[in-house]
Amino acid sequence: MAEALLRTVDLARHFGGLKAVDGVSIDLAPGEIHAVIGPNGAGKSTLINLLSGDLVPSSGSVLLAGQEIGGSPAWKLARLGIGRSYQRVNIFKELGVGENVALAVQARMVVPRELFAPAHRRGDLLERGKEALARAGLGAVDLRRPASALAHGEQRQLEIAMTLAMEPRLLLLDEPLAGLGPEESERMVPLLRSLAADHGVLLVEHDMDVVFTVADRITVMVNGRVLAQGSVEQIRSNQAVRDAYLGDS
Amino acid sequence: MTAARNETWALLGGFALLALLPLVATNFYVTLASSALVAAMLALSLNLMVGSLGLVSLGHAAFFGAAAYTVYYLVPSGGSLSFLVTLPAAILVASLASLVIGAISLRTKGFFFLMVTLAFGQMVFFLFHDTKLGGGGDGVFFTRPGFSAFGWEIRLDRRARGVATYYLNLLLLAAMFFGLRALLQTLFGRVVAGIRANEHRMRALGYDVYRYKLACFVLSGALAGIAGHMWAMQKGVVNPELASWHNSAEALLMILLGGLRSLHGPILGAIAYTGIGEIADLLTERRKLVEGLIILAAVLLLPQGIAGIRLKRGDG
Repeated sequence: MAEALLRTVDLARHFGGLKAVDGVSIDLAPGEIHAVIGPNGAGKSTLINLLSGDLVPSSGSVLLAGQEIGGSPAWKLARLGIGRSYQRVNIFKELGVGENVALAVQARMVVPRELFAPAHRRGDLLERGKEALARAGLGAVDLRRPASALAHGEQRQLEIAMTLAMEPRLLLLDEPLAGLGPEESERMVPLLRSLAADHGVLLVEHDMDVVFTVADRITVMVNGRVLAQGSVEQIRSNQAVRDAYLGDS
Repeated sequence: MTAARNETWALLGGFALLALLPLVATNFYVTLASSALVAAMLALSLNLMVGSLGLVSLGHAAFFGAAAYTVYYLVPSGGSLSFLVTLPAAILVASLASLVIGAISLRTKGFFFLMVTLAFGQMVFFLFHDTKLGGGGDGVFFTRPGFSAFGWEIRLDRRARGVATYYLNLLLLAAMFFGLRALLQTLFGRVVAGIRANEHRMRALGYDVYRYKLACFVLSGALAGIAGHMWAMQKGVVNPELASWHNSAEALLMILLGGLRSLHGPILGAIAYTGIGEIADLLTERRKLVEGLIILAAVLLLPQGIAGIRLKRGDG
């Protein structure tokens, strides 16, 4: 196995007496989709917030390509190559679709001394943003439309396009299928699969069919701890997982 | 593009109209209009925070006041000093004050930001009100900065001085307006719009939001400093009230009255607010009551402020 793109060692986050994430160790290789599943309250969202810098770990370490990054603020992690999408769509609703992706490109490409150039002279930012939109399946959408006018599924795609436009090494996707209809979900699956070609992907998802279809490796969390870790086949056949989680649903 | 061009022509026309005012107005009205322009500068500077960035501050007048007091400190008693000295100094002081206050206040958000800026503003007020720095709670008079430049002594009679100050105010306001408009159309301006729309997402994209906010806070403080300087230059007196939260709140009312989502809104609001105050004085002794009622009615009837009136007609 190549050097881990993302490695967490004994990562923990406590809220008062509650151990939301309690000693979680995960390895994620480049080009791999690593799914994290578990019942509500298992600590999946807390875990992803620790990795994106939205929360600071109580203990343990987070390594990105061997570099310790635990506790860094979200904007620094984004610059180091971690892009994330949120469970609740997190986009610039009042801005146009084009501006949404252009801002994502600008974050990566524009250095401080270029900040005072007139925005209309930097059409290149939007051009790059369009590539990300096309990849997320929104190639035909009107760039001037306010993001709030898109359908829910399209807003999800826009969020993924913004994340891609950052050109991250690691994608953190927090329930990218939440709230999508069956048709919209179907469109999302090949997209997820294609993302693994050039990113490491950590995927938190409730839809088991999707997880078993797209994931390379799976970590099952219960009560903040890792219950099981392994390939799709190993997890499918793991008795403890069946008892604790799969059996319930 | 044509809509933007039309807007530019309308604005230039507006400024040209203001430029004609001293040709027809008496001293009293030139001075009054001059005050309105200073108020417009203050409202415009505050609107960078409120309208563009989406952060409401109640301490903005502190920078206005600090700049005005800087003029008082610099002008030697009995002597005079050119505004070419006092203006940069006032801007510098206002910038430094806003850097310190902004660096601390911007660690907080929403309601807490409002309260922390209020607290800082009142600290500056009491600094001038109760310590030797201020020269007394009732304020102090001093010689107004002059128009002399580079060794050229320019002597003006009372009328000419008022008119010259008016034109300087108008020039500074126009520079501030077109400067801010250009700034908001740069990539920096895009970031500002992004922060207003969704600060959390900006952070997740890799923007150090705090730094951008601080840059805006300092710029907005520096511009308030220009306004404060011009107030002192026009009146030749400073008092602690300049820095008090009433003054900040008044600037917020002007923004609300004019419309906070457009850049010319605060200017219209400041002019209207000054006008309303004068008319209320003519009609009654209860100036604040009339002002309050008119602003209440305006805000209820015009959710986008005065600047929104034209838009509505355009849609229908």
